[in-house]
Amino acid sequence: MKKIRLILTAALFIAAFASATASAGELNYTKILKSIDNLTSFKTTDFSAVMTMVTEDPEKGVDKKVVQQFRRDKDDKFLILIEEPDVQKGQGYLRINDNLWFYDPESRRFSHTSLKENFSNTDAKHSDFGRSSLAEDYTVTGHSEGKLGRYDVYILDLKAKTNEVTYPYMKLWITKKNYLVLKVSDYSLTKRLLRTSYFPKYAKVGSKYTPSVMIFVDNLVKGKKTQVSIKNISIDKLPDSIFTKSYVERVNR
Amino acid sequence: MKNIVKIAFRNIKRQKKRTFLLGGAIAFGILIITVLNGFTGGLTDNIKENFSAIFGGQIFITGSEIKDSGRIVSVIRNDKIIDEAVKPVKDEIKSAHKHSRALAEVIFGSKTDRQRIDGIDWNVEKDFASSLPIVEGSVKDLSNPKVIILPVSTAKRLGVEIGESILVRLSTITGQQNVGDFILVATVRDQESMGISTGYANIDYLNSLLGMTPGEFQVYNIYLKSMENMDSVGDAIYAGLKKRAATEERLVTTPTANDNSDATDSARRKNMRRSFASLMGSSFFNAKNIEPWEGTKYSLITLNDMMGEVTAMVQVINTIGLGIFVLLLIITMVGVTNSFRMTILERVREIGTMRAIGMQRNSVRNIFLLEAFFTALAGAIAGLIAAGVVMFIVSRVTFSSSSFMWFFLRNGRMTFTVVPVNVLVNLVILSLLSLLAAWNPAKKASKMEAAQALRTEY
Repeated sequence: MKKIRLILTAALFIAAFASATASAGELNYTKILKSIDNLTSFKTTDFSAVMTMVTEDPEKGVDKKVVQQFRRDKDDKFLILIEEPDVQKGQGYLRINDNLWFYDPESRRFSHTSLKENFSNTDAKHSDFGRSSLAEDYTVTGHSEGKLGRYDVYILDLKAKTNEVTYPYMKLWITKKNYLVLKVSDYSLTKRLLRTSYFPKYAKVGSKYTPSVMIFVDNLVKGKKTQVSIKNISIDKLPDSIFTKSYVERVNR
Repeated sequence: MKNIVKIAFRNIKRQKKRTFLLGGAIAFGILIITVLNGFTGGLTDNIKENFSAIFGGQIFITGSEIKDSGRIVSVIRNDKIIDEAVKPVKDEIKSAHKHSRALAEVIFGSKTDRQRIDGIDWNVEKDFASSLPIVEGSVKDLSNPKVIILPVSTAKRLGVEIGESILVRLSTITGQQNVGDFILVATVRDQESMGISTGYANIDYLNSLLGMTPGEFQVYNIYLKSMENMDSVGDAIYAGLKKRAATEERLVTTPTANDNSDATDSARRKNMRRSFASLMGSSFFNAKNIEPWEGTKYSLITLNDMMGEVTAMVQVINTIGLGIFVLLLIITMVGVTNSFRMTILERVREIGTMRAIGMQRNSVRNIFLLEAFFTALAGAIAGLIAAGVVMFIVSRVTFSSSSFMWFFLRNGRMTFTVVPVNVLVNLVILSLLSLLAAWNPAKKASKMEAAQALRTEY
């Protein structure tokens, strides 16, 4: 009888240990997502930079854009003003919470657009320019370890928590050393690969990191990709007036 | 009376040049106003026809749900409410269709194109497939759920051939990215130059890509037997929907005294824009500053609702046209008055003779009035004939399919719709002005004393 009790106790202990280990593992991966969000979001400072976007489209050729980006992650606000090419100069995308407005200086009017849409015929989405919210939007459904180039990485499979997130499934390659995302594969609801994003270079800004080069490859349209280079990064405080419609109108006068 | 008519006719014939000039001026006025009225009438009809072809019907019912996140999605999950609302007016309906709709990106190799795609239940809508203007391919076998029919212009741009596979990238009704494989089975002709063209796919497969289940749909399209009943049928269905479920306020062109506040109008316009976007294939919207609701909220929109601004524009054109017509007539009538003054001077002795042999004053006056009336009538008939010829010739001209004018044309041609009431109104205005122009000279002629008139020499 004692033996049976001992065996049962051992079995229970092993089961509890296995379960604790598993949940600790899952918790770790969720923590990694939180770390990524924290590492690349600027919640205590503002953020501004100049981005150069070069889109290669096999049908439309090469298109270069230079834009000024202003972010205030703590309020979910951003403003992107197009400076080049001349035909698009003055066009702006102003985000305040879930609202995103597009300003056209030709008609001098604002129109509603969606964060889920691509930014001005590039392969980047409007949402790529805001704060990271991986932990809020996704749960980790699978994980493995591997190498990406010379980096040791965690490979995480993510599933959207709700049916309102743009990409229902994602795969992330994250450096083990400092939890920087090197590569992301975005999948459709039917689990078809839609887009692959590469983040080969990061810039350290204070205690935070921001990708200084981003490459977005459209996996459905052969040969279509956009490279975004980020320069003149600053975390200095921005005037509140920047994140207003009147500012967007004023810079176009 | 018969003699008076005869004399009036004889006088018209006697002064052919004058009659020709006066009648010609009147004919020109009638020509302008008739062609203008015909043009605006045709324009309105063509825009309605083209809208009807683009959206697939004349009355449209859409449904929307509000999610916990505050997002509005376009979906109808229960068709019983609509079926019951439509029942009382089913005799007025030619056909009704339940479609899903996506604004998608069609991809073939490195080529892409934006395309609206309608999900059709091919088993229910067998006639719909056979009524499509097929350019290439066949719609005989649509059993494979992945078949797609594309506008020929889209297929050309993509460089895709019949039997080849294409990808369709779209957003689910809740805004998630999704992709489906399709096989092109046929291409159809459509009015692509209007900026809106439609492809067709199996509703169940499209629903699965849109995140909807079989049996659900997004737009209930109604084709009427007669477009003239659009408002009454629309009102009846809307009343039926309102009785059974939550409904969006309709945008009316003439608000009543109780509902003409700016706020209400602005909200209605927002609803209208959302309904319109749903018709175009957009599935989700932000619900900021909108009162939440339970279940499905129905929205009804008719072509006439969409045509409000077009109708107003046509009315303005018609009013300006009528103004120009009246101005032309007034100028002509000054000529008529002067001509009749001259005529009376020329015919003083003749008037004296007629009065001497016993003709009454009223009869003398009527001769001149009838002369003016017949001249105007002859001018009007000539003007109508000339207008008919002009409209016939212009309506034979085919405009390029890439022309922006296509939206106002029917099969690339301008059409004219002449409304008999409008013609009658124009003729009445013309007749009254002619009689008015001739009234004073005629009155003066009737007041002449026979002896004095006979003594007069010029």
